[in-house]
Amino acid sequence: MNPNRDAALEVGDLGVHFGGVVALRNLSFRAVPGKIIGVMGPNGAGKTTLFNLITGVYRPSTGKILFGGMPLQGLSPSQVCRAGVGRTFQSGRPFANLTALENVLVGLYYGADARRMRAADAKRRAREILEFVGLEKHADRPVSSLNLSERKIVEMARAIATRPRILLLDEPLAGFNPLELEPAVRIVRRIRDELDVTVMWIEHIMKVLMETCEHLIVLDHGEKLAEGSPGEVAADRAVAQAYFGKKGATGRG
Amino acid sequence: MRDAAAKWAIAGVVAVLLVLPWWASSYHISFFVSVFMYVALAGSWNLFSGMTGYASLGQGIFFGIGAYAFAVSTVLLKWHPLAGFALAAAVPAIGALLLGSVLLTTRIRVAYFAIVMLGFNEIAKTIVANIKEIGSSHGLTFAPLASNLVAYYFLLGLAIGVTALAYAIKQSRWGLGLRAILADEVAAEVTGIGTVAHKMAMFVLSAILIGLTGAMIAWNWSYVDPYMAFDLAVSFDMLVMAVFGGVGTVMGPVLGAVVMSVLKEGLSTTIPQFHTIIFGALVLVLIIWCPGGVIQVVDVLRRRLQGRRTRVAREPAK
Repeated sequence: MNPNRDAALEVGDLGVHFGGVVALRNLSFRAVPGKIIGVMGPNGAGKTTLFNLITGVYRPSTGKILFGGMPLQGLSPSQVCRAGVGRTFQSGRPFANLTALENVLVGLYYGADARRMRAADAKRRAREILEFVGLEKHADRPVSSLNLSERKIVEMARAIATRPRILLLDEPLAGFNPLELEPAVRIVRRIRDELDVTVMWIEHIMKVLMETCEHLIVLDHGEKLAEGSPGEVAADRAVAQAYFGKKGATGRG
Repeated sequence: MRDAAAKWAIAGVVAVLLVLPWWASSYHISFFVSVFMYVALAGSWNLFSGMTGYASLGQGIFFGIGAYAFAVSTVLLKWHPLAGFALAAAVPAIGALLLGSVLLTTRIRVAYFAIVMLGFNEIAKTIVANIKEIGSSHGLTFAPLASNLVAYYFLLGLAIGVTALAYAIKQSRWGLGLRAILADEVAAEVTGIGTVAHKMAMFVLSAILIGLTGAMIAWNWSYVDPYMAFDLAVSFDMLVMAVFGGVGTVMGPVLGAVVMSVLKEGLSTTIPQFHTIIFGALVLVLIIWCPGGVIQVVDVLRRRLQGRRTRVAREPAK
């Protein structure tokens, strides 16, 4: 159905600086379609900056971003979204004054491939998406009345509604209590498995990333430190150093 | 039921307003002209600022531009008034496109936008006051309007049109997009909403409607000069009335404009020396006490009444 379903996201030599501060430099990777790709790294490593560059919120200083061969750099965030790149925010930014259903409707009406949908069809589809993430019972509640984890799930539903081919999740689990983690991880898995969407996932809970992702990219101080399968990354000395310091690394080695 | 009742009530009010001039004195006609003007202005301000969150402190610049476009075309160029009105819509539209392409394409802070608009209004006033060809500070004088009923019906139509437009937009997908922008512009943008196009369209629409109001009012006054056309009070009044009535709602600006025009008229005739002070104090009290505006008061009262009714209705069942 979707001709570019297998479009890969390719980032080449990507860099950005704000004044004299280099936030990201020489970053290259290829996000293989159909995978769940974890992005990890300490605070300030440049993870969110990377998402902001891909989605057009920031302009890159160097390098290129290709999605299915089409350059994304220079597009506005709304154009990037319509090209098939969805995203959520670290702090959770659903539209608080709208109901959960309306949040999803915005995604349906404005996202990729947003051909004129009849209002009734859109509403039905929106309810299906809310059902998919398990929030159908809150469909008609204003988002401002939901708790943090529900708000972040609404945001995820909104991103799904834009029909992305790749979904960038920025710490979707931050602020969740332990009981809420597993259902949320299951939603991310099902986004890939059932909706056939490639996922790039920033998270600080390493255990979750190690268990769920097929591929990991580790950033530190704006540069790529390591990349590979969770096993490879876990065995990487540079990663151990960045996370545990020199001592930990030599102690383990 | 309730919506149907509201619709009939609105239709009734409009019908009364349509036939009112047969009985009303000319004093009342001119009072209604000013009420309609304020409804149109507050509603137009709300279309852009209320719906996008970009409060404009100088939206009156389009009132002045519209007034002058009409004056120049009908007085100096001797165009037909209809052509004058067309120009009074076109010039503010072009002005809004130019201003918007500077102010709304980058991520300017909302507070800066408000102040910059106020600045542009003052700049426009000074420029117009220094162009001899259009009368400099003396302005231009129109051939008097045959009857103030022209202004009455024109502005009544405009007030209804602005309100109907707000209603239609709120019901539409476009309106949903605007509510998303109001909530979080960056999030709206990454959800696929072309935020610049949305803001620009509303800015231009607001400018056109305010420009037409300015043209009609200038004609009704039978002259225009830079200080009345670009009077900051025009900018502030429409803002205060929209906020007073309920920002971002359909009926809020209507209520705000009606209530405040009546208050203004009442206070200025009974206590002419102090009316602006008392007026200002009243506005402050309402905004502090009820930030959602008059419409929120109406909603709360309605819900209380409904609550009582449903409670009464439920009791026998128990």
